[in-house]
Amino acid sequence: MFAVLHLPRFALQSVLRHEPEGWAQPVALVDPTLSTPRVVELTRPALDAGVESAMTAPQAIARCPGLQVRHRSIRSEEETESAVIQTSHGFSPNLEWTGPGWVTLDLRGLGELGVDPAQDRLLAWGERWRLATSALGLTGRIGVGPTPGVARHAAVEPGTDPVRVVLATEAERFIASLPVMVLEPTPHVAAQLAKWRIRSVGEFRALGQGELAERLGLEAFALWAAASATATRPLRLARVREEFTEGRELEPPVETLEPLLFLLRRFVDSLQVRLQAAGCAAGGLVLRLKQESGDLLERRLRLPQPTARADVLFRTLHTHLEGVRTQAAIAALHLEAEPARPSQHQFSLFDAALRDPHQFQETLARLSALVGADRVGSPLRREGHRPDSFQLVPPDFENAPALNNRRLPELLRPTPVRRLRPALPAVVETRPDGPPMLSSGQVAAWLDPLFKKSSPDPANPPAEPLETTAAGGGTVLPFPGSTDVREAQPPDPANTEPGRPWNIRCPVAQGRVTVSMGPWRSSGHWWDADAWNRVEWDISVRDAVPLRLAWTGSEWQVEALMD
Amino acid sequence: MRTTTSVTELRQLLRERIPNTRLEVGVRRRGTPVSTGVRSLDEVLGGGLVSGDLTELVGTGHGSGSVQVLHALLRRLAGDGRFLALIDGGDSFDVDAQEPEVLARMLWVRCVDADAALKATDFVLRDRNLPVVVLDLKMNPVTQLKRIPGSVWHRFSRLAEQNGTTLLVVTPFALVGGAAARVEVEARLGPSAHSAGPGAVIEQLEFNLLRQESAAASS
Repeated sequence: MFAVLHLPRFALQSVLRHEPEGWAQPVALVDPTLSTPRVVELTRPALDAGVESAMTAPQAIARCPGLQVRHRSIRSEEETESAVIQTSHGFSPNLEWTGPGWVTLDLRGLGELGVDPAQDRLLAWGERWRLATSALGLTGRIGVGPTPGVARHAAVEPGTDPVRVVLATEAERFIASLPVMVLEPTPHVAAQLAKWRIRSVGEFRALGQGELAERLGLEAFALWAAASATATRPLRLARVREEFTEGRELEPPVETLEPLLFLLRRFVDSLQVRLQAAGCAAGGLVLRLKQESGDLLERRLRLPQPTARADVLFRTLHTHLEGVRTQAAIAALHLEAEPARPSQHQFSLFDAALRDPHQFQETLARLSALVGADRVGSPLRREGHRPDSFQLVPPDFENAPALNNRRLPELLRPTPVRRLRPALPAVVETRPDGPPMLSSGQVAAWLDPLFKKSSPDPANPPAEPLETTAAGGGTVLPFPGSTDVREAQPPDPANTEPGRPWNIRCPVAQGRVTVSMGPWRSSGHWWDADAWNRVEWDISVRDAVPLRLAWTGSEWQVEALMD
Repeated sequence: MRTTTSVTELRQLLRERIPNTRLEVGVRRRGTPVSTGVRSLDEVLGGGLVSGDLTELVGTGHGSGSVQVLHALLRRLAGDGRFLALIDGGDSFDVDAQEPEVLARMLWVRCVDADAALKATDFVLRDRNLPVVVLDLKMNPVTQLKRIPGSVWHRFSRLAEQNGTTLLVVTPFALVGGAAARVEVEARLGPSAHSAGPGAVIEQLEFNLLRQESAAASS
């Protein structure tokens, strides 16, 4: 058995499939590629208003002033073709794209139908295929028959049944009852047949193949084959493209969010059907907004887990678009789903994974819209030893590395501070002698119990950290920045440039520096234009917060408060 | 109008009309404590931060040590394989003080003011994916904090309770009305403390329990 899906007015359906309300309005599709653009397809209201095919646009508008003239879109037709093939492929892998609006399936060998399926079973199967096509926004009829030809005739047989099944036993009678025009003869042959008063295929066949060939020429053979109830042919199998794209050009361009969301909802509904039919899910979405000015706004939206659920895909798009502002109206909209293998995840009793990764992704998008995309994420320190140098990356908790035993001793870990971003400028008076610094004895007395406390256990020695040489000499550890080691090393009292802070004036502290520790020197990137060189001091001012001062080569800054 | 004849019927009526409402007064089921990584704070709180509760940590004045608690909590959760959201009201988190493995387990939201921080907290609490949420308002100006309506804390409490989220709010003064627990941290940390390392600094912190809501231990 074979099944044929017929999508009448395929070009117009391709344009209107995401706006079904257009079928209730007078709409004419004009082919702009013709030397004189003319109407090629039109809706029923336009037809009722007197518009006809082959009219020029001015002629059509003269007949129907309220006519909406739309341009034929080859891209829309290709996307519709791809969508129909992907969806139909889920019903039979032996599929032929017979022509625009025509799909032929070979049902032989399908396990769910069996060898000799009953009519009811075929009707139910055909109805499922039709509904899947309807989910793409397309209207069509399905014919099922013992040959591709009979199935095709069944699909276009006048009537209201969305699915028409012709069994092998009734194929001859069915074909014979059809009007001869379903064989689609050329106008010359059609006129000849009318002259002979041949109205049905049965009357046509009664003339005999040889007699017809003698009088009508080669075309008679093609008509005879089309009128056969037994002739079959191998299908030219269509290649299923792994592209899941939906798009539309907007006439007129859209300036507000609601129409875009309306269209996107239809896009994701269609993509859900296509993805499920192909047995895959969307691993990501690519949204392209073409602005009226010609600029293209493209954004790839990452999905935490592959999914084909339309609700999840739509929420992702909705949240993203809420934070999008464009300079011009949107003239075209395209959405692409990147196919991926659907993931399965079972939570265990002690699983710390995210319960709803899609919800989390949406929350991240909301947070990004609230504070900015560069201010949400997991911090990742940049290579090097420059203080407070980091970037934010999308959280990936499920693949986060474990905090292993290769931890630094407590003493070598930096004590957390509160960073000031941006750093506060400060006016600092310096003197070579400066305020009293903690004596080495005081520092030793302070550190002694701590060293004892954190002395390594001989039975379980801590891992040795790697050492590297800093640009300016001295030894620093690759983790966690340079401040910890510098603090662990006694400051060099002889090196006081640019001088020890003596007085400070800034928004968070003002007055005489009572205690200062430093200088802590660091530098990096001396080999390129991003070179940096700094001197840090940890100071305390009477009745003010202890803070970290930094001399950046040109100015003093308060970079952190101790808390 | 229906007439209620007893407290039991009244409760039943309220349950029908207002689902998820909490009707028992004074006695509440206690969630699982989450260790903060600071032994003395855990002792004060009776085991740690309680899941489903809003806890306020008040760090008064300079060098109070509140940020030391925050980092200790972060490390503790990372060590347990859990993750945390930090809503940083003043964008003051010190990235250099933590290992990459710890940083990879946190969602950091760098806010510019208290208003954005509250909105971000609302988003994260409603998300339900993150078991521990820290709202750090220590660095926000007092004028911003004074403008926060009390209903915000009530809403956060309800969200945390409904979702079983552990919510810790760090403030420069007692601010959160309706917090299940309020603890003040005290320490006069100076520049020299930073030579000792975070472990030694943590040992210097003192905690005072200012308020704790009565709760029944979970079965």
